[in-house]
Amino acid sequence: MNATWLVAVREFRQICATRSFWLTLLMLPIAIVLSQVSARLFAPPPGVAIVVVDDSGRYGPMIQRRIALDRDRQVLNELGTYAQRWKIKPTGEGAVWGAGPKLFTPGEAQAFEAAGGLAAAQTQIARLKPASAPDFRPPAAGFIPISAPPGVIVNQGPEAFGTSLKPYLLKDVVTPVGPRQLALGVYIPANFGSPGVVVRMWTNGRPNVELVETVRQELSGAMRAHALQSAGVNMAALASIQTINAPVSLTAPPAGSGTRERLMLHSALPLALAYLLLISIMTSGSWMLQGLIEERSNKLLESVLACITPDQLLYGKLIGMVAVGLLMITAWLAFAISAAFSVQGVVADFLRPALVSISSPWIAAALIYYFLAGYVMLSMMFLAVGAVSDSMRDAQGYMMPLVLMLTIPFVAIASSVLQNPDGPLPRVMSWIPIYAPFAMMARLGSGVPAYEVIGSGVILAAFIGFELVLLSRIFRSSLLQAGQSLGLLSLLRKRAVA
Amino acid sequence: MRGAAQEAVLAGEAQLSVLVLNGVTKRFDGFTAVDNLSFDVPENGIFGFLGANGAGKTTTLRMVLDILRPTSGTIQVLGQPAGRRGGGEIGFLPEERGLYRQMTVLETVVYFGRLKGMAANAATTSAENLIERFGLAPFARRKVEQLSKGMAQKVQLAAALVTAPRLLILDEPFAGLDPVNQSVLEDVVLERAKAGSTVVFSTHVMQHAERLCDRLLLIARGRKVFQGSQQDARAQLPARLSLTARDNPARLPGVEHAEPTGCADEGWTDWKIVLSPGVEAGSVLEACTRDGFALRRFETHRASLHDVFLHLAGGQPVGDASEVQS
Repeated sequence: MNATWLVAVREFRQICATRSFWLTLLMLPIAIVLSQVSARLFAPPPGVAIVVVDDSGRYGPMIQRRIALDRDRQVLNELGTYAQRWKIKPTGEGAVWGAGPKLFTPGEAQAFEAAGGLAAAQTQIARLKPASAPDFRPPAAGFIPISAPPGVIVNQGPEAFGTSLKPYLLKDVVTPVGPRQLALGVYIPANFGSPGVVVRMWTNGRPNVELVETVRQELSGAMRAHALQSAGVNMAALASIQTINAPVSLTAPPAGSGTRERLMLHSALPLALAYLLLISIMTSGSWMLQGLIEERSNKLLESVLACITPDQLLYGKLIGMVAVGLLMITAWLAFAISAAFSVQGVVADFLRPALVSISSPWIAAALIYYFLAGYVMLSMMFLAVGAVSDSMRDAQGYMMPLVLMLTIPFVAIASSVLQNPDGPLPRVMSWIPIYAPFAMMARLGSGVPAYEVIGSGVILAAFIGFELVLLSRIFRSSLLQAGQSLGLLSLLRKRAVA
Repeated sequence: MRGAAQEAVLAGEAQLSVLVLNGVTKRFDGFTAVDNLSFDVPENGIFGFLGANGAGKTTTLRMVLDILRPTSGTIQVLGQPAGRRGGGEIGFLPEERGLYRQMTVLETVVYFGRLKGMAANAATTSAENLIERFGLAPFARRKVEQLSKGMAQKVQLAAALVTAPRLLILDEPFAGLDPVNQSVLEDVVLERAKAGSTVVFSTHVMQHAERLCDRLLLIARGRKVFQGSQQDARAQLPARLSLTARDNPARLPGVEHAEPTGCADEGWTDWKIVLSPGVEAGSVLEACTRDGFALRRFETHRASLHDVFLHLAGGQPVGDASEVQS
């Protein structure tokens, strides 16, 4: 077996035998699982409660009706998205959601309700949906009207109501869907509508603007209707006026096809790969660094160099390091793909659209090239640090600037690519070899001119060649110099070691 | 200027040289570590490479192993320019020893065998034999970090021997070993030499060289000050005698200096005598017998390599000492 390969296998096995390797390998999956679990366990449940006390007896039901209609419109929108995604064509009076997501009118919501509402829609879905489609899950209600909690005084005016309600505004209250935060208390006096009479509202300190606005619009609508009626407008005309809505045709693009969404989806996988490249190179690089420093401080390099050339040692270490990094990335990707397949909808909603962006063989090949080239280029930087460092303390002095030099521009590249992949920053970075892998990988999903891919790739390859020559020199000059503080430049000048 | 190998051939020595250095110089940033060094090591036997700390021994051995390249001069190892082509035929135990701490004893020895080009099976068999030979069999599957220093040094020696090399180079092999392990190592060196290997070992401890070496090379400040057999080396120093006589031995032929060291009984005196260069103790004894010079005690003192070392390298400027060559 070739000596280079033997060194690579030894490096690979040594790193894989360390606890830190396994901890790092499991870190990402564990972090993902923990974040999902904690999000489910500790995230507040959706929806807030509202208490409306209406002394007039006229406005409370109107507000509740409005909240119910808004909820139906929200359900209709989700049903439309679901129908479009799974190509379901419902039939019947209330099947307005079959045309896909849109801005549903209150009239359409009433028709939907009249036709049986969500229960009827679920029945149709169960009959029409493909076997692979998940069940439709309606969105959680945003606002939940409830009766006044026990102990709240509702018959002694607004002050008594407000005072007795205050304790409930600081905690969860009982609702039909479980404990929820009480977000708003509304007191409508019996003589509301008379000049100077106001509706009183109490919030929990974080006013829910949408909820307050919903209540205000409903009350304003009732006041306007009353005013029109007083002005002599007959009931039929009034009802007709009330149904007037500005005609709006809202076209909602299919999921994932909006400009921003498209950018996110197309850049997601390449960006994820770029992130993985950065993380794995940092970790495997530091292991390799430790190994090399250990070899230098253990004085065992002389034994090794009596058997093989410094170049064989260098290439072996490089191959071992790249192999460790690729193993980590493969494991992480395998976990991510398994997780995607185990979570309903992720493959259809995210993975497939994201893969479309790199489905071209040329783009896939370029992605693989930039990934591997980036790995080799960065690995050599870590090896150079290891070759000139006698201890981890020494290495820290070189590592900090190196890590900052890589990570800070990377963050800028990633955020720029999500805004505009053809923006000046990603384009400029694509031509700078140490950032080219990140910039090009992040941009590839969104389409990059061929001349840029080829030109940047050639420059990167040339840089790697140059780096290899430099590293080879540093390696030869420094390996047996343990304990002597030699500057990088003096090491480059040295050509003593074979 | 004739090279050492050429000189050997001209002198009629048909023995093959496994190692030939011709005018080898190595400079580091203006410092000359090895200065125009020429010597050859004949095949078979044990060759001592002697010198004080910093004399240039390790640098020379590194050049022989192609770890360092000479600034000038040529090196031939086993008939070829220095390089790693015949890696398996050369075993090397460096002065600064270290092993991969996480590897087991067996893995370590096999690894070095394979780095030198051995097949996996052959390396494993050879490693197992050496581990057994060095009494490390119970620790074969243990990690190196769990071994004592002495055991780790045996592992390193096994790694140097795993290919059964024709040329075994040991750089300060006895450093750090306890007397028991020094004895084991001496046995191994003798065993390898008997098996046909050529052993070159560097040391600054003359007792080891005295016990083991057939031929010696002594360097000081990077330059050769002596090459030859132990007998040749000792001949570099005037012979010394101790005797007890009634008369002053200074008048005897060949005596350069006589110093009384004490009075024995009945008019006898103890003397310490230094002979003139080239004069042997036997000729002095012969003169005493012939001239009726009364003696009660006559002892010859063989010069030790330590004395020779001090004489050639320790007490004189290198320029003077370098003139003394066999």
